[in-house]
Amino acid sequence: MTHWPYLPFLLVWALPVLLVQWLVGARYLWRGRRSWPWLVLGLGAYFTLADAIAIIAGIWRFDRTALAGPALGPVPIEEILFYLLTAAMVVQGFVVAWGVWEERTTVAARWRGRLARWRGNHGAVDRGDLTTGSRPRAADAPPQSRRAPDA
Amino acid sequence: MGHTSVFENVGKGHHVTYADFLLLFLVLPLAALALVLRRRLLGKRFLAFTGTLMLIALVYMAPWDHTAAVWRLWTWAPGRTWGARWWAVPPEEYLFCLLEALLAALLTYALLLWLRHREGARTAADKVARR
Repeated sequence: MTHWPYLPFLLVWALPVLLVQWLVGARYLWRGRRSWPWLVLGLGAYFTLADAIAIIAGIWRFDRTALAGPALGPVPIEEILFYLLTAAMVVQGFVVAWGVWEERTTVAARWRGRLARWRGNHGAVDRGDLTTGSRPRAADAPPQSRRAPDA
Repeated sequence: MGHTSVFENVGKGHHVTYADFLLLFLVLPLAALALVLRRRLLGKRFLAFTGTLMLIALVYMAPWDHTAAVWRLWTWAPGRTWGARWWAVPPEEYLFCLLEALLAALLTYALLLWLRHREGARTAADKVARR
């Protein structure tokens, strides 16, 4: 049966999602560049270890002819990438959603400004919106989210 | 449970099921995290974001995993899954997808809360220092 090898099949599936997340929320992802990537790496390492145990235990196996070759112990490189990429999809998705929500008044103003410019309505409307909406008001944050963790 | 412990089975290299794997590597850490986060898990924003991400993950993963299973890029050993197949994929795989997304979302949430807590503590310390 002719089919794609695992690696391109994985990349074609995962990379567009990560790209869209960066297009939508680059400012939030860049701002958190010293924090969330560690979480992705940690999850990747954790699931690689779990995968090694599952493979050794014989729960699942791979078609060797569809693999690129490099492996870390019993874990094919494609699997390590799979766990890194899927963790990145969820973590980035959460970070972007959180960032957009925290700054929703600014985000709304930014898009109103863009829309106004797109309509050819330059100047006052656009800038006015941006200045009034540039700082999220304290009242916008729900009380729940302001609670400090006790851990 | 009618079988020996997960750890014993891992050591012997057989009889470990996909469900054992889910229990050990996903359900247990999730339960531990839930104990740490407790009330904060009830935050509406957290629940909405996490629920949406889990749903998207499931819908996005299913056709991809199904295709890989039809191509036999990966296969599950007989007797290690419950036996059911939804499309060509065992239900455990869908659970894995949901639980992995949940674990990643929970950890991200904990990270964001911790960062904000640290930021808040720093701002408070600055205020005290300026006094």
